[in-house]
Amino acid sequence: MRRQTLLLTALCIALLAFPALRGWAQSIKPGNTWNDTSGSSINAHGGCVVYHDGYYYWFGEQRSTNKSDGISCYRSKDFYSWTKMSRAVSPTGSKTDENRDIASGRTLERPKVIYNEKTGKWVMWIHWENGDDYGQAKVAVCTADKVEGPYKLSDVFRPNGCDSRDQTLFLDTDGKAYHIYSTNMNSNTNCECLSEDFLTPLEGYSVQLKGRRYEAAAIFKAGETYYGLFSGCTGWNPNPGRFMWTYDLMDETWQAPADFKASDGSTGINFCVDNNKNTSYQSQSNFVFAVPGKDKCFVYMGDRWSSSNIQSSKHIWLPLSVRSGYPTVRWYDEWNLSVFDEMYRMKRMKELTDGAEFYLLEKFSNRLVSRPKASLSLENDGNANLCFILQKTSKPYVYKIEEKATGKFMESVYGTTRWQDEADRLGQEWMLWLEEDGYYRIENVDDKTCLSVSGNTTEAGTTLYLSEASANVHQSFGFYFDSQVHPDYQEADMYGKNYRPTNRVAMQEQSQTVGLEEIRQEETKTIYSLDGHKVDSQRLKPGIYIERKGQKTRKILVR
Amino acid sequence: MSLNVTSDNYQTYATDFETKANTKQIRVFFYLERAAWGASVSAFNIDDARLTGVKRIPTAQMGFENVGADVEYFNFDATGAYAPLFATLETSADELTINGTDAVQSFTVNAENLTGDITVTPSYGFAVSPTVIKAGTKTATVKVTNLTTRNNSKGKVVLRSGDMRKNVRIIAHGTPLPVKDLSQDPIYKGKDDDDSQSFDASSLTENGYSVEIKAKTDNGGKQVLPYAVTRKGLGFKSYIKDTSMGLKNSKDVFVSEKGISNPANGGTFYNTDGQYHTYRYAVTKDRRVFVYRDGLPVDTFRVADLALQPEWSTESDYVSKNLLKNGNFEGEWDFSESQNITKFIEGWDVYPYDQYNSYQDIVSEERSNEIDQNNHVLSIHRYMWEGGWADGEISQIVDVAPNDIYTFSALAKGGIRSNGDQLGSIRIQDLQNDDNKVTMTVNSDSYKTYSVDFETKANTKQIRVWFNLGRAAWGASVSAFKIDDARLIGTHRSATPQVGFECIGADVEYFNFDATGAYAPALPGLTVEDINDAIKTATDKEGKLRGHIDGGVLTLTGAEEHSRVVVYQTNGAQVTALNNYTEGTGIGLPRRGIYIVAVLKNGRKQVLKIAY
Repeated sequence: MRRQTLLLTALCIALLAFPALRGWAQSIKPGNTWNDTSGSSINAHGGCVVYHDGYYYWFGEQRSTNKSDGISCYRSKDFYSWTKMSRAVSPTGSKTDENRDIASGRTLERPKVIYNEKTGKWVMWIHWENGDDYGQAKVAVCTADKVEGPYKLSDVFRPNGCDSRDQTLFLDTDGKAYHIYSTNMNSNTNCECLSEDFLTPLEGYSVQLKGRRYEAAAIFKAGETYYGLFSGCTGWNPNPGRFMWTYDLMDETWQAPADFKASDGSTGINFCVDNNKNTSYQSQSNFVFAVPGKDKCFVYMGDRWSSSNIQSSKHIWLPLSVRSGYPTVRWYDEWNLSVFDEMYRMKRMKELTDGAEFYLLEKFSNRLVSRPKASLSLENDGNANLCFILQKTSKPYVYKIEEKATGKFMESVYGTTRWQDEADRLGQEWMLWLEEDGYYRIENVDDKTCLSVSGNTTEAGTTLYLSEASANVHQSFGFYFDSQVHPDYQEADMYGKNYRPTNRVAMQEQSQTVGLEEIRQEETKTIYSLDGHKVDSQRLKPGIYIERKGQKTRKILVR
Repeated sequence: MSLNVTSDNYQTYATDFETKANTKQIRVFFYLERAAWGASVSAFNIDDARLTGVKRIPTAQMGFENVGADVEYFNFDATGAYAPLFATLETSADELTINGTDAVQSFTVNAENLTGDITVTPSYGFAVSPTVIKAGTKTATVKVTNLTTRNNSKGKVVLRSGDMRKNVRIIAHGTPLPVKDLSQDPIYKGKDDDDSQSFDASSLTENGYSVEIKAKTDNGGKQVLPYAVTRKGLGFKSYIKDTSMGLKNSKDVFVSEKGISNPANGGTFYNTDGQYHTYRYAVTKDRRVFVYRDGLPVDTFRVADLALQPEWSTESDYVSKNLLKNGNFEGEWDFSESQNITKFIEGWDVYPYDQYNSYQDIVSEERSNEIDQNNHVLSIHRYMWEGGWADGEISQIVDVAPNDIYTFSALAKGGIRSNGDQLGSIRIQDLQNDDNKVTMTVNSDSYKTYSVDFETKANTKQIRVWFNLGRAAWGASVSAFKIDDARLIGTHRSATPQVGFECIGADVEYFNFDATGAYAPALPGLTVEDINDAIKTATDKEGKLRGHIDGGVLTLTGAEEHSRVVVYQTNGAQVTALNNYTEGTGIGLPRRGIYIVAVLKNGRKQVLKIAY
């Protein structure tokens, strides 16, 4: 009997210690049914995750027969397996004419939780509607002594008198908290600072993204840069995600550049980079949380809504990187926390130095220039990535680019990239035009073509080509180094507030330097056959040719 | 502040509004909030809106803000409102008719008060001079040259100055090919047992040439394939079998050979009659092949539409910036009325010819004010009401060098299903190595450039480049897959000059070629002597045949019913021919001149000389 008890106890301990033995997940499979430790589907939607005392706490909308049923709470030690706790917010009381209750039948969406050091309270803000329509556009604020709750209602109101629908909270590193929400019938996004107790907004708010029609905000920070992920407004249907960045949440200077226009008319740059990016992998953003203990490593939380069966909506969790200086989310069928181990191994070079070994990172895809086949292409980190050596020339801002493995130099030949032995040809010289965000446009001195991305595509395998400079073509590349191979190299402070202003000064200096045209006119040399064909100067057969250099021509004899 | 409207009856709503110290403007608006799906909301009606208060007047201002723009000048005139000088772009003609290949016609252009230079751009098959007219020129003359040998072609000359446009239509008639007999003293006379033969092709030039073979291919085991090509790829390879003939398109396992439908009976060539038949291929300098059988024209092909035989490819000495033919889709295309589908696009192989699977068009689309006006793009569509049985493929085969890199690029958009599926792709296939291929998926409904480098292997001779539109499903909505500016940069290949024929069991009476030019065969009907007689004296000997010309249209009286009528120029070149002539039928004459008209039936001839 005692032996059986001991065996049983040992088995229980093993099961507790090794979740895999219990058949619980040790990885995340976005879009798959995700069950909690009791085997039930996790019913927590549009919510958030906080990390406290060694545990992750997942809050979200609990839905029952499509209706709002309070706010659920799940807890996990290992990030993969989640145990359902008691409801964090339960519908209580009766409906009031003032619409300041959380009675059964009210709609509670997008709960967000932060901790107030000063009051010692956990504070939850929720998008509140009356249960019949979306006309009230209020927030419900609740508080609790423990992270898992139970949370009690503090108030229901319109923040600063503004309609508030999709909303989120952000707790800054200085202890201040902010409420960010879609407003003015989802035309704009407001940002307001919260009071010391986080229960109300301070008077005054900044109006951001005016007219951009963004919703589903998810705010996070890396260094001194704040980032926000959003979706467009297409009801329950997914659309292409987009992002913003700023150095000051309250300053009306949120930057939301655009390179697409979605079917709803909204614009932006997509943070998703793989197939199905046009639907954000069939998801809508709801939150981004930092992975504890891993600098600048984040998890994107999205909802794959099933409008007729909301409680069964799937969860799309994916790793998020800001390695490029902008948020990018790659698709994984399955992943675990090890994806973060080398996420930032490649770092942005602080400055371009002669002889430096570097890799080229494409701005929009966060992928490295590689060559697994004949064509240059963008690939994930791995063996196909090309390592280059930068070779300064006597001309300012002009370099040669040598491939380390082969010793060949990148050259533009009739507007195509070729790898050739080193030669004194303008086609092998590249002007590096600095951009404000630290990227470079790589322009050939001879024919002015720039390294460009085929189709402006961001997926792995996308090829590169040479094309004239264009604001509509992706032509921005960052210079990165392998920090494991070169721990001595200096990393750029690309998340710092001074990074862009410093770059702007450098850009100004560059634009005032002797121009490319002068260099080209002095030195361009072209060879023609006697019948007028331009010929490849590297493939000259014996014969007579005409050489043109600048405005001068002469006859040459090749023996 | 806001005033809520609380009644479905008209009420007056009023309020005072206090401005603050820094208030400059207020916005008054009528606001109707959202409801929910299916909600019934009464119409929100407003009238007699008034705002009473202190009027504000603007401080008189004049000038302009400049945010980085370049300003040439700014001026104002306070004496009144004046329109600018009226800019015009007028031409002396709206339409030109050009008769003859290499013939020239002209018109004048009045460009008074225009501030931008005028660019002059002809459509395909024509050349213009000058191509730019300086701004402010009062009168300039533009010469238009017809470059094509096509019997009938249409085009336009487009003049553009800034946003102003003016088109001049062109109707052109190519010069008929001169006639020459190649049956005398052929380079090859048939024997009892004929083998494949090849001859010295060094005399063939880009100015054109003619090839003729007389052979018997009266059963399925017999086939003869005449061929010829110049160093610059002006050439063809044809096949003649027992019931069909046509032209080869590379090795036809990759693309379809170009079959010819017998115009005499709408289909089959009955070579099974045990007779020898004569086949003439006249290759012109504007790169067309006119095909004749027994003296009658059967079809015309563009050389650009046919890929050469891979074994003809040989080393060249330069890199080409674009090895593709008609990569900008500004060339010719042919629409089949009977099949309601574009069947031929110059330089490109079209597959399949089934409008209920997919179809393709060359459409006008201007992408920007910098692109030549009347820019054309290739547009491929799925037929919506069928799932389809094949991908739509528009392809071209290119001769390439081994162990080399070729760079392909094209502007493309579309081919995207409403559910997001991306069905359009650009593909390259090494025709000697199945596993050497690339595919680029087009991922946007906006134009983007797609480009890839492609590496050939040691045995690669040709690659096939194509635009592929995959299948969807019944009722699927797929955006048009559009492509323009396709380019393939890389080492050019020449052709080893060839002329001769392959013989597979066929009987050859003779083979001949003439490197001096493209000639039509003498037509059955009038001999050269007949024509010379007619020029001197001829009228219908029995006196019955009469011709009447009105407005360039000839009608005959006294011609035997259901006879064949052939009209010749005095140099013997055929102008036109009709079968089954009935009295009163009109025959169009291309221009003024003297013509010889022959009416032929059952070996009888009526010959008439007429003047138009």
